[in-house]
Amino acid sequence: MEKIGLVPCFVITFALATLFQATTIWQLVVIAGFIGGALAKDFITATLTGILAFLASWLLLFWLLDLVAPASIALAFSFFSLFFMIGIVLTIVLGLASTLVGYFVVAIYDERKSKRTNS
Amino acid sequence: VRTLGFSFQQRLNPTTVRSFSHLLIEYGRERKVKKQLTGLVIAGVIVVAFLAPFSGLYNPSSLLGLSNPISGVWSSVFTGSYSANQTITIPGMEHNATVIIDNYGVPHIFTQSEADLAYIMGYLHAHDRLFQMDLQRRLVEGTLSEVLGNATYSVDVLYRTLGLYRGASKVIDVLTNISQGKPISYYPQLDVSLVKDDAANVLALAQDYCNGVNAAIKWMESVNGLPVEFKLLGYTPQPWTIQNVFEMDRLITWGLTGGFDDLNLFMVEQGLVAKYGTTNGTNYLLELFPIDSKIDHFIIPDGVNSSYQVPPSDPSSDQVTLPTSMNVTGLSNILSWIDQTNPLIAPIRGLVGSNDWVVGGNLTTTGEPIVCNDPHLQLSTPPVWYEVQYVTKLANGDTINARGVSLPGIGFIILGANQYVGWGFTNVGADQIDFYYYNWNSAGQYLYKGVWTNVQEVNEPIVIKTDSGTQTVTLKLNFTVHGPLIQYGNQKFAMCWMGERYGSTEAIAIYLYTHAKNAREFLKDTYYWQMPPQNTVFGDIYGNFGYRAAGWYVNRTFPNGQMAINISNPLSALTNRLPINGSSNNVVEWNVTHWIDANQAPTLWDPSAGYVVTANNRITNKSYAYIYDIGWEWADYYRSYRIAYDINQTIKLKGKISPEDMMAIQNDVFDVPASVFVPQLITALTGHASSDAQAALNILQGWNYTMLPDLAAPLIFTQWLPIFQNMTFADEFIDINKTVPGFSITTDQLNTLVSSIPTSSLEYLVLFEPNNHWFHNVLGANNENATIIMRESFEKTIQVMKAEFGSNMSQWKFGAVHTLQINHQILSMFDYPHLSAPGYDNVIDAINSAGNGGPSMREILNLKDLNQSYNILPGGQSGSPFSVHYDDQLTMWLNGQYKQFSFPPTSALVTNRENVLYFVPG
Repeated sequence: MEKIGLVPCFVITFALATLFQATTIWQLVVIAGFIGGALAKDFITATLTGILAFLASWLLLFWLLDLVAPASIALAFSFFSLFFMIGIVLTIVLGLASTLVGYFVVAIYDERKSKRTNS
Repeated sequence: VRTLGFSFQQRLNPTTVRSFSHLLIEYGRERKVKKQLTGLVIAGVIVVAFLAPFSGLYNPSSLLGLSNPISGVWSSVFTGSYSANQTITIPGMEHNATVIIDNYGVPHIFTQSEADLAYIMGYLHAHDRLFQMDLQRRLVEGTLSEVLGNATYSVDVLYRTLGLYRGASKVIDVLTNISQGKPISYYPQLDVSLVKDDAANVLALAQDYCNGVNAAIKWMESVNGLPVEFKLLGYTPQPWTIQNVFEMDRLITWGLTGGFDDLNLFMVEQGLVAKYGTTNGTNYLLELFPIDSKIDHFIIPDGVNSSYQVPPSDPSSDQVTLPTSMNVTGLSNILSWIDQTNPLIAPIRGLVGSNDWVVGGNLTTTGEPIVCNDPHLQLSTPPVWYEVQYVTKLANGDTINARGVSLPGIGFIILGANQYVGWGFTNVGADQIDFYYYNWNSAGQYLYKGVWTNVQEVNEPIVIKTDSGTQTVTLKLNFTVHGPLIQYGNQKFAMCWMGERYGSTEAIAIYLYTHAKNAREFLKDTYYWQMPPQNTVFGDIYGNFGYRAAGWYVNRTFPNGQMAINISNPLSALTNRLPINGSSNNVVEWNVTHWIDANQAPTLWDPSAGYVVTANNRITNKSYAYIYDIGWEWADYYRSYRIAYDINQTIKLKGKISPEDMMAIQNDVFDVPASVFVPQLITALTGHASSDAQAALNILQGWNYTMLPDLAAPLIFTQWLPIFQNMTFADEFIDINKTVPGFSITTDQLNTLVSSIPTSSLEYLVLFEPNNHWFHNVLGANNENATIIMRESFEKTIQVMKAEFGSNMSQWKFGAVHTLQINHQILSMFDYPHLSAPGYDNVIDAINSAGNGGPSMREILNLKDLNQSYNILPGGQSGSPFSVHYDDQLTMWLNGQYKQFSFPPTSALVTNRENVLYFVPG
């Protein structure tokens, strides 16, 4: 599989995560993380992709919410600012974990494949 | 190296080196794979933890689900408000319809049929108030524990016992029978043929309304936009049904006619009789809770014909039946249990009363009647009422243009006006509930009419939410011939409440009210208002106005058919105030073959006084023969007296009274009890006050008796009066508690008891019997009088206040204590702000002492030009905390301001538009 660097990996993961969020079945975002991790050229790339792409995806969606209904969102933030922070932390954790799952699965597969080739 | 099986002793030849390199690579690869596997497992576990369907709020899955921007709590933000130019499809609607949402979130609905109107009302109620509706449904049905857990189990037990939902089923039965032309066995006076079609329409519209509610639920679920409370509690609402519509009816009926005051009064009576004997004990009881208050102000003044004269053929008994004595410890336990089950969410309860009045055109600046109403209920977030205006065509080609407030869950305007008639309600406080006690044998049978009778048992499962899922408990309900048994330990009373026992037809009345074309028609329609009885004032655009204590009242009779309550024998009025001996051979029971129906209720038509004022006060003196039958829990005269005074003063000063004057009256904060007690207090303390008390007295001397937040005087007065009441009345009951075997009431019950004694009873004793025995401290010198108790209580009050509010009296402020406590049903984060509030319990602007009850709306209907009418809600239209209409009227309401209450006949004429919604048939 073709491995890619941080920027393209981030873009793909970010786009997929945002798309899956929009389906309202938020659990699907782990697929975005998995794909991003699988494509990452190395561990650092996978890690940064998981953190940044998911964070950016959430921030983008919140920004869009704020654009659509600024007064209501401001009211909502007055009640749920702590919830917002918890959500950010959790999405980073989920993003990181799902990306690393993808990364490690591919890495292990590559190792096995390489072993078979060498032997 | 050792691990790999090499030793330094081995000779390093090329083959060995190759093998060694290979092994090192292998080793490195294995280690890498091991690390990768470890990483994979850890990351995988985290991912699974997020995806696993854990229950409960505090786990990553739930937290992330709730906090994510699209489907979490944030998505409720959008369904909490309407989108601009939104098109909404509802299956079953007949025609396209338009709804304009104005800048206060009030919908103006324009439809081609009443059926479409019902659909849209249902949709809008659910859109703006779904959680409020669902929680009230759960309260009525006793299913709160299913979503709130064990904390509400006892609430569920209580409400299932009360059986509001059983009453709702009976309403449906009654309406169904009427719609089929079948007579109602327990309402033989009701000529069902007159309202056969109306009953059918009511049922059909109720179903349309439910369909509208369910369309909104379906839409909100489809966009993950259920109200945030559902998400936080982790459940989704069931579809709304006709049963639920009438459960809401029963909830408000319980709030206005239910309760356990008979049992509370019984406890007082039992203590007094045990301590002082039957004669003195009963007399003492009547000093506290008089059958005919010696200071009063009636809705229908003496000498005014109340329209209905009791037929001379009505046989009344001169017997008096008092309960037998019993061990009241069990009674005390029952009442404690009921107190403790005060629901976490507030049912609709008439806490302090209500005001409504109508002034005829001869006395108004407009030349036509002005109807004013501010019903006082438990204040809640969101408010009890949902405001709406609609214009709809009827099948006969007529058009209705109505505006008013509706109850979420019920699809009709309850209070308001159409283009011809305006109306308002206050609660009559009618007695439609009795409690029965029995002799029991060891087999668990009760004695009824000489026969040992088995109780009827019904088992009901209650589902309780637990940490690990749910648990089901079976509740056994027992019934006697008189109703469900309220039991705690060995003490049992059967509750005979009209709302549980019988169906009713007020839905027909409400339906007809909005169709009335003049006051005469409206008055005729009040016949179908059975419960909860309401002091209904009304006026029309033709200048007619009037009043009726609309309701059907209980006729209590002995087995020989004689009425148990007799106007010429006041003591007979204790029959419906105290529990009834259900095992007596002469048992008093409800005679359902002849009710005191609404056409026999006190009524006024264009009264000569030029106005009618009601404020939950007593309706008439003894000129109306059924006054004792109707009820006994009249509010003190203070509010009604003050309203009448304000009206008279305004007319005296200005000649005529205007809608703006009505606003001032609705927001009048003059405290009549203060104007009575403070001069007495000053007289009692002059020359006998300590320096602190004198300083406080100086503040009271300069006071104009207005209950304003910035003043110290109302704080001093409201702190003193309960202490004075307590020092006057509590000592006798503390003594009874100590000396009467089996009498054991808690401190809370004692405080409740003392505070429930009408202030007017104390007023009478202070003014006219200052040496009455109640002022004697039976635990002290036992020779005190009113003056001494006033002095002692005031000195004590000032010391308590200094400890609580500091020594600097210039810093004392009424508003520091009297604050709004309008709280969300389950989440404190959504409470309205706890603002300092004017008003008080016996004030026209009756924001109560606890700050959680008061004017649930204020409305002024100008029958000359309905577009120049006004109203205000204590909060806002929306139940969504994320909506700008969640509390946008709160400050206006608090400050006595109003918003325009207009009746635009077409959608094009609606001003101050916020959104337009287009409803189309699906």
